[in-house]
Amino acid sequence: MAQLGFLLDQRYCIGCQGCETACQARNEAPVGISLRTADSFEYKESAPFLTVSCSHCEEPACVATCPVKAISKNPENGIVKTDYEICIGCKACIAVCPYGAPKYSEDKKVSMKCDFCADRQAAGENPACVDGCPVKVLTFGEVESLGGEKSTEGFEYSEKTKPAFRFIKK
Amino acid sequence: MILDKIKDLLTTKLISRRSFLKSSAASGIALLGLTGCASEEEEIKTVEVITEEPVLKEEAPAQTVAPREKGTISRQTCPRNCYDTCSILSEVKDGRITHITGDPTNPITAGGLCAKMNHYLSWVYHADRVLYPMKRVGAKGEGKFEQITWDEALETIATKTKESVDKYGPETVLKYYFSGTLGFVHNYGMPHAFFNKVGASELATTVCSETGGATVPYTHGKNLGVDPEEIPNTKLYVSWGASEATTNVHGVKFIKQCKENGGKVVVINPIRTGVATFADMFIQIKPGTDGALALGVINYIIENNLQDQDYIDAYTIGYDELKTAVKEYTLEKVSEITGVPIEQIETFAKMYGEIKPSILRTGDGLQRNSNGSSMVRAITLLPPLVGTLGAGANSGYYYGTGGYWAPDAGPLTGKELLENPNRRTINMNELGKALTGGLETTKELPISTLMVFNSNPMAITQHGKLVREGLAREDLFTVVAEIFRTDTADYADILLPATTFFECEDVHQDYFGLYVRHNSPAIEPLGECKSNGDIFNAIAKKMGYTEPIFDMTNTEAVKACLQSETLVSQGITYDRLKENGWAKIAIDVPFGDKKFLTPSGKVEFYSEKLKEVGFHPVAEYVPTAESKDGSPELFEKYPLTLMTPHTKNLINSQMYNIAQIKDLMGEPVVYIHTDDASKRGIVDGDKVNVLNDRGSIVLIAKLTSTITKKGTVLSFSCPWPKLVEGGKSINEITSDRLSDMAGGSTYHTNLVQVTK
Repeated sequence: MAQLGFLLDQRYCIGCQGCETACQARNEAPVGISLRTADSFEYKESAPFLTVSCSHCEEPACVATCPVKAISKNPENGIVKTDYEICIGCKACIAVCPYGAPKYSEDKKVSMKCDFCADRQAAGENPACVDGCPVKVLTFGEVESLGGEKSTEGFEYSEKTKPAFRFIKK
Repeated sequence: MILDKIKDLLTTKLISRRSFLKSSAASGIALLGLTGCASEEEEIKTVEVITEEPVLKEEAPAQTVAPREKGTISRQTCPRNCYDTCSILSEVKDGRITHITGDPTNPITAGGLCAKMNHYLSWVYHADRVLYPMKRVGAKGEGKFEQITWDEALETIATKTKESVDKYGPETVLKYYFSGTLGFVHNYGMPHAFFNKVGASELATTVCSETGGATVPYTHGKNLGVDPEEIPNTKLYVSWGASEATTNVHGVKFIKQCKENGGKVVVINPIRTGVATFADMFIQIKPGTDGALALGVINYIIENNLQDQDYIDAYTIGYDELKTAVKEYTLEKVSEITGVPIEQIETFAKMYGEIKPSILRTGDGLQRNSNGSSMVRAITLLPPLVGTLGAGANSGYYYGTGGYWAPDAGPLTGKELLENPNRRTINMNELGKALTGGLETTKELPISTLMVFNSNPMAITQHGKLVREGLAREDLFTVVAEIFRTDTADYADILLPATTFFECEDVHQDYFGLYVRHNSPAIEPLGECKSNGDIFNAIAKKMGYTEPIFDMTNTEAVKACLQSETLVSQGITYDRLKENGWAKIAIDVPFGDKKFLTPSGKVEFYSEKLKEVGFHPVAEYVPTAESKDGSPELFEKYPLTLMTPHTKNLINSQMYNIAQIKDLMGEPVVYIHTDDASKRGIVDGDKVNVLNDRGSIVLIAKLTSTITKKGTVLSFSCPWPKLVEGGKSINEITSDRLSDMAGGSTYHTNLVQVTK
């Protein structure tokens, strides 16, 4: 299997944040932590709306940086995953991620990050955020076949890390 | 800049794991804290020290991912007062729900829940659940309770209720309930047998959609919405006064599909809604003026000969009167009233006259006004004018699908036990007045016992000050059945622990589409919780009532609801529902037979019946009771229209006590247009007072130039008062005035001032 990535259809994303709370619930994220952060149409003045989690970069800075090698990239599907047993919560991954995707949890003393719901995928399910999108504008698949554009307002494609995130722009 | 340097260092130099053993992590963490706790100079030096002796990074351990372990699946229905009424799959392990998701096979739910209900597990297992019966030991409203046994609770309730009935009469007992859960069994059904036996006052539950619901039949004969799953197949979708992204988020995908299929989307709303952000046209109208817009559009259509004359000739009456009545609504006049530019009115009218098929949807929001009925009446004239009503499954009008509700709670309510069919009715919108003797009837015969279930009136009922005064009455005996200790519960003499829908059986039907849905309990009731039905049966028995209806179990009640003609004839059985969780009701094309249940049997552009009840027989623009045109003096004092619609983060007053939801939503705000704010010296984030003669509350100002227009302010309804600053929620200042038809609510007819 090749590198997996997310595709967001911004033409119809309404900023309902269903993806964000589905992610929180799946990850049992401590209050105040979102491993996927989405714009809210009730707060943002105008579209387009964006929702961002870890983009499972092709060349992830976090993997290269993690001093204790808690973060690994799956060679088969490209999922970048943190082993919370190994993570020491040093926040190095947060600092190097161009998108600030990992979030430090004071409760758990680790830097938490989207793992593409690897266990759900292994069980034949979609990532929680994809299922949690009631408008069906957030999808995933092999990044090469997703189409879309690599950058959008508020998300600049990093040539250094090559995030696996694509957009159908408004 | 410094942060960039650090990033470079970290990405280009490799760090040895040996430098960072977990046991010595404390200092290491602090040193690499990078985001500015120590001085940046120091941090950089430290990073360089650490990376002085780079060692080739060892491979991280390969990912071993075991598939997620699933629990035993059971099927529920989200019972909230929401169009969607989603089908839920929950997984249970060792008696505990471990995971929930939307049913992927249901075409409306389609796999996902919504932003708020994804956190249902934090709700059902919340540490603050009321798990045992309690009696109040502090002052009313103070919230001090002591656990008691069920027997003591029931004994107290029975004794006090008998005392009320014997001393003051059965009508001094009042039930107050609405839609905390919308189940046929636990909301519409079982609890009412007890109240019918007592002979308690009836409650008119007209807070939501009754004004519009009572109006539509004057035009179409019956309120029959199209199947919303046809929205993708229509060519023009008009969202008029609806906020699908908030109250019907699972419907948004159908609107998206409509556009993807080449259709056009128009949104008419004072508030920039979620769907407005992708609509082809967004008409941001002055609140309460929709009737004028509709009449102006009708006038334009007629003047430009865009009406469907064949349809009008065959299936309607009163076209000539309509023509005459709308003449005065010129583009100029309508633009002046509504604040909508002339070109936009023209463009929309042309679209609506030319693009077919179309579906015109009215939301509940616009009819929650003093002129709600007159506005809805004007809008309902549009589909027959252009011949879309009944022209096909993908064509016509939509004001919900409640008209197709098939389960029947009637057999559960014990109507035959009611001795006095003329007992009085109290309008729920007037609870404050009712409790404080503000109604003629309650001045004469005050309410002595109040029993609340499925509702939190202290949060949701208008004119909060009066409600609070009423609930605080020392001579009022109050029973509250609740899941949490709400503001209302704090006034209870006896507080009873109610189950959530995860703990009891029920049956539902959504009012967005056409699905009957079953709710199986996933788990045993927590603590000593009981379902609403069981609670009122237990009270009935303690009262000494022996009728067999009070022995009915929840399962028997569900089965009894399913004996309706529609369900039986369509083979929608208990077993089938339990197995699959839901079943779709088959319907004919609404008005496909062109039979309209009006007095004339045709669509009535002119309605004699409407005239009889005091309205213009065609339609007219009536300003709201609190507006520049409707109350100029009040407007001088309070020049801003406050709208209090729902937020996507809450369902009425529910969910703000869930920490994740509170974090997502933040403190309650009032949206105010930048022009209105600057005039008042208000900047974003200021604490401001929002006030009128009914009261005053403190909110945080959020400046906007898109979400509301000048002259309109907005605050979402409604967190529990006790969870917000000052202990007062938005309904402190909403009006308990009734609408122009069916005793509906008028939340959005509300003038306020905002001060710093």
